[in-house]
Amino acid sequence: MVDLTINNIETSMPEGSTILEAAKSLGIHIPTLCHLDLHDIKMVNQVGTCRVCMVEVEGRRNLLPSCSTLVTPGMVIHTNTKRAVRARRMIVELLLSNHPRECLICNRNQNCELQSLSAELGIREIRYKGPRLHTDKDTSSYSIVRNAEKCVLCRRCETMCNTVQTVGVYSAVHRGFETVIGPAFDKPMLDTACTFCGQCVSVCPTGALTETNDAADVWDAISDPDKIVIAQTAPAVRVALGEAFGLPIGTSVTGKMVAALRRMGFDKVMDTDFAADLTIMEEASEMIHRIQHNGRLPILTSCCPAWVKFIEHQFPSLLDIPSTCKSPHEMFGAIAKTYLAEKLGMDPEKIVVVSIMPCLAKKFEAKREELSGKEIGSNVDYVISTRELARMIREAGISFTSLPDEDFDDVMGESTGASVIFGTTGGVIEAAVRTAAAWLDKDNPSPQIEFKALRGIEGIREAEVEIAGMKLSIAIAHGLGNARKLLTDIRDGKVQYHAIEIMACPSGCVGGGGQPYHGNNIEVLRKRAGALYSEDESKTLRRSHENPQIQKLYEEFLGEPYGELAHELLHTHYHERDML
Amino acid sequence: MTKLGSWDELKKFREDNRKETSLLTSDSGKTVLAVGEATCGIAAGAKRVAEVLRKEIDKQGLENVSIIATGCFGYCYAEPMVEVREPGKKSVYYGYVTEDTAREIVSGHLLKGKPLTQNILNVEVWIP
Amino acid sequence: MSSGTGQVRIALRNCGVIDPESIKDYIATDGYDALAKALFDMSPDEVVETVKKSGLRGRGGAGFPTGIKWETARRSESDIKYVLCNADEGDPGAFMDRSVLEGDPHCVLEAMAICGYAIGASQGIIYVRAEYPLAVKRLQIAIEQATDMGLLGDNILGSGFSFNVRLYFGAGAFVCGEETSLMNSVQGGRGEPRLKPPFPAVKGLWDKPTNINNVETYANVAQIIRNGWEWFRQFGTEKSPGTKVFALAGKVNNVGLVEVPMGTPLRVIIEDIGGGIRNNKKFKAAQTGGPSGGCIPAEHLDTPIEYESLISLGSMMGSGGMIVLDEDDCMVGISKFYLTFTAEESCGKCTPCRIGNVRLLEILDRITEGKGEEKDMDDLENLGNTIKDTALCGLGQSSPNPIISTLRYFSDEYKEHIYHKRCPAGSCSKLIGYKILPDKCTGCTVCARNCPVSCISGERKKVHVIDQERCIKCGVCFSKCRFKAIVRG
Repeated sequence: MVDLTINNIETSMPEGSTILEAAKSLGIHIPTLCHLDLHDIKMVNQVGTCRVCMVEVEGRRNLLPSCSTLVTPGMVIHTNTKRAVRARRMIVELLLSNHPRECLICNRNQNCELQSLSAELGIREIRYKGPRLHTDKDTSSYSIVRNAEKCVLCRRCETMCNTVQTVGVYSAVHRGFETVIGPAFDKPMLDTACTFCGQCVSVCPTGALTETNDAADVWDAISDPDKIVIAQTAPAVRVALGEAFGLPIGTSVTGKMVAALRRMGFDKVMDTDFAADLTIMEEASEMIHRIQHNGRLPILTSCCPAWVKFIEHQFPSLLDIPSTCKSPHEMFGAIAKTYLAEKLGMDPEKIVVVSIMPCLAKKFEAKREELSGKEIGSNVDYVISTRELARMIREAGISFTSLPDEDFDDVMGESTGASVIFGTTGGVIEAAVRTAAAWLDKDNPSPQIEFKALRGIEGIREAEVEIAGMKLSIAIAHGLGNARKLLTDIRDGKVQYHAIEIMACPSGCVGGGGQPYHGNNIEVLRKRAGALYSEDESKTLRRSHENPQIQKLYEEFLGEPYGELAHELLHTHYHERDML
Repeated sequence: MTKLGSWDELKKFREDNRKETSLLTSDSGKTVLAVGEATCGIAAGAKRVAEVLRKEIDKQGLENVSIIATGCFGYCYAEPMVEVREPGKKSVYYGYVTEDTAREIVSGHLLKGKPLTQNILNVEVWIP
Repeated sequence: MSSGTGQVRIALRNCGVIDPESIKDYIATDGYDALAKALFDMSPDEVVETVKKSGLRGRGGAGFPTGIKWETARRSESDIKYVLCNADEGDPGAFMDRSVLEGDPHCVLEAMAICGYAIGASQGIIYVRAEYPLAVKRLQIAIEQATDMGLLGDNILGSGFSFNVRLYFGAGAFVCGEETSLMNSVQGGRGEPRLKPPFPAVKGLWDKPTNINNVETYANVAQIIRNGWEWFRQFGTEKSPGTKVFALAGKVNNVGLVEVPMGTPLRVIIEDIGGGIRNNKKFKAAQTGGPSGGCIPAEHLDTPIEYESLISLGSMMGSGGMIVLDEDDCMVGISKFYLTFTAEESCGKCTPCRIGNVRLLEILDRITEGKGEEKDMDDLENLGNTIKDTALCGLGQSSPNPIISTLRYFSDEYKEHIYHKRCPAGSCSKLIGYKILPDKCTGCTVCARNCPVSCISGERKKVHVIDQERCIKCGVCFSKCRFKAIVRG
């Protein structure tokens, strides 16, 4: 332990603690901006670039950044001297002098860490009138908008992308006042190895990195009388949307969400969970097929589009291992524009499928050429994130919290507990195992439902599950850095598994790049995941193949799982992309 | 080049080569013209000066005179510079050396044995 | 012609003496004897102790005791350690390190090998500017020769100690002279600093303990080892032993490279060695320490130069640039010159340096354009001090020094610009104008013929007039007039 004094209060801290941590333990608040410590997901941004958290340490010539200065024995620290406070204010003033102060019309209005900091310090004047840096907005990608003018160079995106996700799209480019954080050679985002996981957006303190805004297109479709607009909602959306309306974290708002979507004017409100069950039918079949026919193992889940793009860029030699299953919302689109259209007598060309997703990569995925059919066009027409949905609900003047709970529309609205847990790490593979266990262990009257060995928060987890006397070894990774480790070992032949689940975002879809901002608190993600498991438990049907609407779909339309029509509509392929 | 395997070999190498080096002219009996050829000197024209010196020495058949390129003398304002090291004598430093001065150094100082009256730089540095 | 009175050469002892491309020359001047002495007569601890006792301090800027660095690196336990040489000399007008590398490359190699032996490293890296092709060439030759002769490489002189040196070329970023930026650059990363601690001696290149000194510092080491620390301490002062090389430039008669004992008064360097101010103009200030330093006015000319005294004068030793300014130099303009440099060379990592320096520069721009406001001097001082107090690395922490020091000694000049819209030195082009005095003009037409924008008119033998609208204030007429008929004001 290290003894020290902060603002005349004596305390002791474990060795290796920072001044900021020591102050926090005493209830002393030091304003910060660049600093971000999400050590559970190894996202620790301790670069000390913003110089907001400066404090005075006796015997030291200069002020020191509390976020990144370790305590030393006998240290005497003052956090709120005139000198420190003045410096802090001046730093924020400098940042604001170079910031487009268009808060009123900014995506992050009322949800911006720079704005809050300025309010906290009570900045009322910016003495420095010089021009600010002008750069072009990068709107090249379908997922992420990069506006370097609003960047405060906190480097969180860089740490997230390089250290946590190991994708390495961002770095500092140019020098001095012209320095921006962006792709090398000023490449447009679309031309980079970006997976569009959107984790950079999740940690960006300002409006420098935001999701693309597809709300206008969706409103246009809704107001077009010729279009039949179908909403589908991903599992992780329902356990996070409530946060945007002040509900406690971890509240599941499925019913209110459905009601809100109807009131917004969607013609049909259906559930991606239905398609998740469908995915399991296909994926479990493919898994069993590959195992029983000495096929390529392991089989990798393919629900996560960011992860799919990652493997295309980074591990082209492994492109034969992911399952060929489309992701659930794409399956949904394919079925909606065929089976559903036929069943309800709708013209497929008039159907507009809008996916509401916790994810920004889904926006890119929806534009993939291989995910559209000749007759039906794109499987999915628009993707909006949870954050965009919350804004649209507000824009429509809907009082979300006072809405009644409503049910999804029929035909593609029913889902099982298995599909609900798709939204968290370990969920997809558990869902697949539930069905595989039931199918393989036909004599067992009550095959196992919960496979708790597959749950958890560790970045890479391994488990062995026994199904019908067969031992399946399974690995799970969330966060692309963990995925890289796992894939490297697989490629190098160091490890062998039957099946692997990978989700690009730390914690899985509950922590997706399109979710309400977690406020730099990882506990939020855990509570969201907890809500998903509760919803699963509360369901009567908890295995995908038990979903009656799914059974009907195969009976009436698809035929056999993993059969010919299923292949045509529900499976896809991957292609190699450049490393950079 | 010889590989030196011990401190003694280094010491021996030093003694054996003292006469050959450009430094201690009194041992070798040779006259050495040292031209300041650091970047500063070269920029001021030292390479041309060295060339003229070389030509003149050849022309005059002065076999006991060699020319070396050395580093910066430190007198940037007076570049190009040439130092004349003669056995048993105090070095003479010439500054602002043009091609003409270079010729005069050979024809005057070296041939006639009398340092020039112009271009002489009073260099006083102590190397402890 | 003038003399080099007062110069003592330790770092430059071989520059201008030996042929830098001949290892025989270097060996003949007792080269590699210090390495041999260290390897055979001294333990690594004794080497560290000798350097510590010598009081040698870093010649690159901050003056950190070299022996302490070595000791820390020695004590840091690791299988691999590095010896780094900072040859990324970047101060405008400074060329001390280049001269050493071009004139005596072996002395740096020898010192690095001694350091390697002392701290337990077998790999040395010289980070040298790619803009120094001759230094690079001579270093390459030296490394090759030393390796061929067994003075570098495996089992040096049969001692069992091995040490290799390789070069790494810097791409010209000033901030890479800052040690953590330099290491980032060697590792292939962006040249930008990181937080200290951990210090390089504990966690440096590739997180391994690394000793980093600059060229001039290493250039002293072999002499200290060979002659002993007592010998070294006979030069210089108690707190700053030894000598310092300065690149003397500016308005002084004898510009050049000088090496003087620490504690030598500024006046000796400028007047005795430098031969005084050119054209009999009046000395105004000496700028030391480059962009990180400050301006020392005439009243402090007798201050003995050492690390502490320069800091107390608001300047710093820096790497040894010394630019002499005379009455024609505008001190606001000088601040602007250095700040323009640092603002451009800022890596952009921390807020105060990235944005603050540009804001300072904007204020200076306004002042020199006659748009200064009353509060500008306060703003400069407050913002300047905050940048010093909060910037991440040495570059930012010292970038306002030229402003702060000129505000301290030349506030009247700032006031003249701000309140009277006048540049007393007559150098801020937006603030000056030229006028022809009718009673002195002879109508010789010289001014009109030399004016590059032909804005002077007048018939022969009649009084000429300058069209103030079109005048670009170049001052050509002023300097060409033989009758002092043109005045500046």
